Amino acid sequence: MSQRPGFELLVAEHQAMVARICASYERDRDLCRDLSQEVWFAVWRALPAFRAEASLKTFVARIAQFRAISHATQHARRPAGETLSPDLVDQEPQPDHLAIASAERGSLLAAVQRLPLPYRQPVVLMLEDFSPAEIAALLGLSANVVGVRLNRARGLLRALMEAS
Amino acid sequence: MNPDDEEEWKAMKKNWQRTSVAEILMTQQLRWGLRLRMLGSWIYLGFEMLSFLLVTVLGVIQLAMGQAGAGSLFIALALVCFGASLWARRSTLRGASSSLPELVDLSLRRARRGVRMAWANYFMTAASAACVLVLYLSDIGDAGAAYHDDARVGVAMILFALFAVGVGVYHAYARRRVRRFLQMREQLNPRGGE
Repeated sequence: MSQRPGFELLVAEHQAMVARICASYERDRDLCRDLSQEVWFAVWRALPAFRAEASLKTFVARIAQFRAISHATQHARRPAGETLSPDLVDQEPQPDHLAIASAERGSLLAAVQRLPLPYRQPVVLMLEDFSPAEIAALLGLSANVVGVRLNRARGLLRALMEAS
Repeated sequence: MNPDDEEEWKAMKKNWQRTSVAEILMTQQLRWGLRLRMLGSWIYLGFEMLSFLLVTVLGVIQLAMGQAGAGSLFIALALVCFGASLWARRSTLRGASSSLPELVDLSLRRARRGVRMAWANYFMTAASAACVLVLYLSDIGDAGAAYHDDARVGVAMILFALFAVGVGVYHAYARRRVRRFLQMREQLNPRGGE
């Protein structure tokens, strides 16, 4: 197999982030997996252009965001499910506190999925531990705009999570 | 960011990063799908290189047989196709290092270029078909020449029509992409409010 050295490692290291970004834009499990594959194929093709001006994580996140938004726009006419696909978030077994934690995670993902696109993008990156400055550079926005969007998004997230 | 906000983000981050959809998505199916696409990409590149090579060899053979015009044409065609392939691959790579809005703009420009290419192809197909018909219907050259042959002209017309249908499909695809990227740009930069 003719793969770039280290690509498998890159996938293993950042697949969780890519999967979460994809899940923020696609509720259907199969489509989410297809999207994830699409993202990694794009990363593989773009990898020769990586110049280490930013981290590999930023590089992967940028491509994942682009593909995910493009996917969301492409499928915008498809009727959106009102609820989160139950099999998207890993279900953990029996003990009550684990079940509650799992439900909280599910409700956070569901809330993120319901955010309008301009808010969802910085929120997803923020939750993936990017700094506001990195988010601004990645999204081509000013730091002020990112700050404003994050602030509004936080309020929306809180309201959505309380409502659910 | 005030400390309360920071605490709230911290709690959400912690919760978010434990949201593991990875196990579900990172199945063998995904890995194999990815490997197949990579392999397909290399096979496609291989076929592309093979066809450039084939056309170049044809050109060299024509030159060796003393057909300077046809030989040069084949070699020029191979070079143009090779250049176009390199250019297309280069622009894919160039897009990878831009910010998100720049990526959208780049994709939009490519999609618009696709629409223009479709129009250029319609025009060239119509012009070529018109040339064939003009030759067929006129008294130019020998009556037994290929361009006066009913069957050959008929086949040429069918090929032109098939090509035009193919261009039509590509045109529809390119127009859909333009609409999608315009919509994407609009969604990424909503007016007002900030």
